[in-house]
Amino acid sequence: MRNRLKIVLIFILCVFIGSSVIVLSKTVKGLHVFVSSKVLEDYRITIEGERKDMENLIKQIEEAKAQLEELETFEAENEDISQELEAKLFQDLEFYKLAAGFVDAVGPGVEVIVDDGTRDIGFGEDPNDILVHDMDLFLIINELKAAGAEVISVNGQRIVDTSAISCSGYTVRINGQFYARPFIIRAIGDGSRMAASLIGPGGYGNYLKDWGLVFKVSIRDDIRIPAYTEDRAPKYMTIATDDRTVKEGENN
Amino acid sequence: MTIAMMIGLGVGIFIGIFFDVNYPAQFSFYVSMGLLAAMDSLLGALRAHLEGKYSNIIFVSGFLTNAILAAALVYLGTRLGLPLYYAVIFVFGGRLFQNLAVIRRILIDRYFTKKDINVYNK
Repeated sequence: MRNRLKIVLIFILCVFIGSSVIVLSKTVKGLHVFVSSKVLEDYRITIEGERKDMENLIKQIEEAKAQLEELETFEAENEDISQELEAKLFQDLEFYKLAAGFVDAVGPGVEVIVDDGTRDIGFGEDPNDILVHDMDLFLIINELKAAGAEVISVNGQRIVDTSAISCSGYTVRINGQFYARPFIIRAIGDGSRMAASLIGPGGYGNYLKDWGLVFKVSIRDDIRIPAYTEDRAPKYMTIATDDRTVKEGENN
Repeated sequence: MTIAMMIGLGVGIFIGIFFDVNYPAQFSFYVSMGLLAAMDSLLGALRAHLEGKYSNIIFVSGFLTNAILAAALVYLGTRLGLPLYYAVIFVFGGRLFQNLAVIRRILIDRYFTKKDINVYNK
């Protein structure tokens, strides 16, 4: 009796071993690698990201297709399209002219007047302490840009992307022209915000005033900033014709 | 005993081949660990049988507790992201070799050096 039970148990175990060996070898293909839940989670996130990218790309394709269709239907409908396109192109042109500084700009903003200080200088004090320097203008302009200025001029010189401000003795050179004091900086944008960033606590205007310079800010509704008058024809750069994207940290 | 083992293995292989037994892929580790536990128990039973101290209750309970602990370790490893199943493989693998060595010596004693019982006390 005892012996028979033993044989039965051994028999059952052997059946189990034999069947699981075969089943495992049938199921497992290749090396089995242990995958922790963290790795699984990483893969899941990666797959999700790829899927999202794919969706975006599909959406882009659809948008481009819709645009193409629109243009094609325009073309099929009538010849009016040329006028419409022309109007749109002129609209674009106006915007680019404004952004690049080829036309005058008007709008609300601030007017900042910076002038040399009128206080007496102390014994042995450097007179430079109460003079306006190129760096002062530079920092004020930067502050204005940080506060959301859309377009800036200094003494009627439009500040564009190639503008430079440099010191030249008692005068300051802006866009290649020389200007002496007082300096009037005009900027179009959110006036109260720009004024606050200059004369608020820690603003650069306060710092200049502490040194004894003249610094006045007024918020205006009718700032007019003239067009850029210097020659802007590029000498060295040309438009890139290939659509190769330059990766970060890579030159050329 | 050996005949039962042979027949059992044959029947198991037959079942595995001709019946389409399937299980979810994530359980393959548990099946492997169960297989290891079963092989360990089988060799342990063979050894005990040859030593003449085999007991049904020890055999069954040993197999069950070993299999449960192996499954628990695999589960815990999956939860923690640690390959804890190595522990199972090492222990069972080591015991397989150990049991096999004991069985081998017993069989050698029995069939080749019947008279000299102190063969490994030289």
